[in-house]
Amino acid sequence: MKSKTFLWLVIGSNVVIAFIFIHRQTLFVKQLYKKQRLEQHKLELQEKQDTLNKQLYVLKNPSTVAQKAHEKYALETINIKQIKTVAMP
Amino acid sequence: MKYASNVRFIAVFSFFMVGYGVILFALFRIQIQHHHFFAHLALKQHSQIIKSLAPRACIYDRTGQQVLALNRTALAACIFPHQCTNKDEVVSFLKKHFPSAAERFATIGDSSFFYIQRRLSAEDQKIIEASGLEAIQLIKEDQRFYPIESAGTIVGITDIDNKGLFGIEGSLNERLAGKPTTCTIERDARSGLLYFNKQVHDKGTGSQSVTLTIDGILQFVVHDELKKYMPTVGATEAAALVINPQTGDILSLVSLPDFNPNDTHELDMACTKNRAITERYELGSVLKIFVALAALSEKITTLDEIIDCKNVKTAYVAGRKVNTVKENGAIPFWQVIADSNNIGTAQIATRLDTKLYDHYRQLGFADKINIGISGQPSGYINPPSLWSKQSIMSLSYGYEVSITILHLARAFCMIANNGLLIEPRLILDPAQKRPEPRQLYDADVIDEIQSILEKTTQEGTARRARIKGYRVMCKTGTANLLVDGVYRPDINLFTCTGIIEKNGYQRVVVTFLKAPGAKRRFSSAVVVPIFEHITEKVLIHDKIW
Repeated sequence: MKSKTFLWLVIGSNVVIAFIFIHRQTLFVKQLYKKQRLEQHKLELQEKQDTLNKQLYVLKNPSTVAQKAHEKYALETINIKQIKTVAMP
Repeated sequence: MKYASNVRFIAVFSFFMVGYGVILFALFRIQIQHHHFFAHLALKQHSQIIKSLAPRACIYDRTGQQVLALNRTALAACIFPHQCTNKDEVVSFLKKHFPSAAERFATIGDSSFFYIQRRLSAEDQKIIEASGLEAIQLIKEDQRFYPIESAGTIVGITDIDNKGLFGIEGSLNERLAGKPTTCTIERDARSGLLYFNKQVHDKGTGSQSVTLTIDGILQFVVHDELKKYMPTVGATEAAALVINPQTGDILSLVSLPDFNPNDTHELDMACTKNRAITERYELGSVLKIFVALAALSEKITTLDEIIDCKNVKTAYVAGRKVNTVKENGAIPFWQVIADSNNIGTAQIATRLDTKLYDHYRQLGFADKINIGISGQPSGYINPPSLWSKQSIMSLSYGYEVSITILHLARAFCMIANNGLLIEPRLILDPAQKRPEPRQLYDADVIDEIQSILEKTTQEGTARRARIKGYRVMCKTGTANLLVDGVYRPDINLFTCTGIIEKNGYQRVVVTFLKAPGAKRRFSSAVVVPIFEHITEKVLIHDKIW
């Protein structure tokens, strides 16, 4: 009887240990996959940011600004003689 | 009965034994005999070597608000020939819309990948999408975009594989691109893009952005002014440089004609170089100020010493014929320089003799100034061992010495800094070790030089450069261009270099034009007006009023 119990104990504990190892590995792979999905999402967001940045820099381009200022708002460049300084009291 | 039973037993037993034998044999073949083959196959199928490169970094201007170079996504059309089921349809489509690709496709042989066209235009993209051919796939690639086109000759461009060709893109290619990281990843057949193990073999370096000292808006403004002005004087080439003498930061570096870095289909390579830093010229009279610097430093003359310029346009000095533009009589030395009189300058130069060469060397006119772009030459000064009897005269009015606009700007920065030479720079990198500033000349001598330059602007050849309320110190120069060993009076180089000061604020501006020469056509009328326009723009931009 005792040897039977011992045998079942040994087999049972081995099965439990094996299960724990497999479970640990599964959890690890799950977290790894989650991390990779987040990295992928981060890359996609970065790409979106790059696209928006590019649009921003194109809009900030001085030649675009100068053209718009001249054509849309009829603004002209000034020369230094037109600048008057006023001393505040 | 017993016999029949035995036979059945043996038959069934043999059947299963044979079966197990076959299985064992197969296992033996797979696991032991062909172990290496299957292990290798499994490794190939489940592990992959990936080389990943970070996106190419951006190039910023000094403010960080303007980007001079950034990435954008471009599309490339490609085919995987082994997966192509309707080759005839694909070929006829290519022949109709991409004939050169169709010719190449006919010769690809066993290749597993084929580019139809890279960097597709919007029109090409529409044609491919409208075709509905599944064999033609669109893949994303990085392409460089340059928002400030006027900085093209500084920033340079990349090739179709995004590798820098020239300019900052070329010289700092490794820093901008980084190094790829190589790793092996293990994945199973169903995990798609995900992996469950990753081993890094070669850890690369990330790409690093570069910040230049250039002010993006100032670069655009100076470029715009110079480009509008060139046709009014018939100039074929022009350059302008704006530099902060206190730090050596190059704020604007314009060279014309230039090119559009976003459209390189028909690129004229001659327009890709920035002449202000890559071309050497004999700049003429603008170097007379350095003759004055040498003479005052060697104490062989004083500002007020009266020099007899003989009141003629042609005279003989030390037995050599010297021509000048404007007759002057007996005038003080400062006026010899302010009025750019060759006869008076030649007389002082003969007193200096070979010391003039030493001073030119001290000023760094024979050096190579490294600001981080390839293709910069060193200057050239004709050495005394090769002098003719005319050489000392020629050197005194800016011939037989060949320098870039940058050399000239650096020397003027030294004058602005009271004799302290600070090396110019284009790349803003606090970690970079810069050469220590050197005191080249005494402050008293520099004071005298500054007064000569101020008088040149108030009363001399640079009168049109005056700006009310600012201290402007200029020198002009007109030189014949040397072509195939002959000086051409019909092609002139016009230069105006000056220092602008107000309440501790300082800038050095150099303007340069190559234009047709004529008998009474000088820098005072040709290049000084644009110098004044550009200087005003710089002051307005920097809000110095």
